Amino acid sequence: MALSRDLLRHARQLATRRGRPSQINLRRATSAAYYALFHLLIGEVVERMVPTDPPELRVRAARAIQHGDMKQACVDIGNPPKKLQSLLGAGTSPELRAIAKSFIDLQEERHAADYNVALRLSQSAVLNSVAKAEAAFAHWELVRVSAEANIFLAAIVFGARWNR
Amino acid sequence: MAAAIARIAPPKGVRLRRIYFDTDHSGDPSVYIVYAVSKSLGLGPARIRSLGILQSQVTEVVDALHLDRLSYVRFEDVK
Repeated sequence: MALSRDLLRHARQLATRRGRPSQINLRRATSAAYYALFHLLIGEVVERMVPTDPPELRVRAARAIQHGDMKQACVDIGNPPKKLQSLLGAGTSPELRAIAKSFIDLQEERHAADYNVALRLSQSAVLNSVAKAEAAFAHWELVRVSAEANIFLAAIVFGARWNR
Repeated sequence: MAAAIARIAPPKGVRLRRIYFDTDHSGDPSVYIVYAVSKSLGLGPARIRSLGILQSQVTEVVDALHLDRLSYVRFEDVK
């Protein structure tokens, strides 16, 4: 199974352990939910934009994709700047906007879960995060074969330089 | 903005706790809307779905205000 799906399942398992989940499990569930979506999108980027020969090329390309660039592409999908409007035409679907919003949320939550040592996570918040990631996966299946998905994935890689 | 958010009826056992402005982890101007969630009503799938719906409603309201800030909805458990 793909890494992204494994991470998503892992997040669900950690967040729903019997009894009261420990703080460390809630933190790791939050992180796994984010990375599930991050790796799903990375996988789509390299599959569409990077040749398979040599095999190491896709691995190297995947490592080059940055969290900040992906966040910015998501911000731009939610509120397209001029550089994207001309490509997107009629706009974006609710599903793609939901994916973008979930990514931004999950990245912020993951950052807090991994670095804010004073944070005390609530189970309801973490279950909501996992559900958001799961919904993003489902939404992606609906839009992945579309021009807007192609634009979104290209924006992750090229968006910062599209002003030129 | 607070009035617009307060007009959104949260699910049973959920109440608006606070709203504050800050920057997020990457320095983008943001608004945080925090809800208290009573655990006494359980955390089953339907309840978590209702939190997701609330989050979408709040995001929609904040986006419509064009604050030029990212919005983050947070849930904190209370006994």
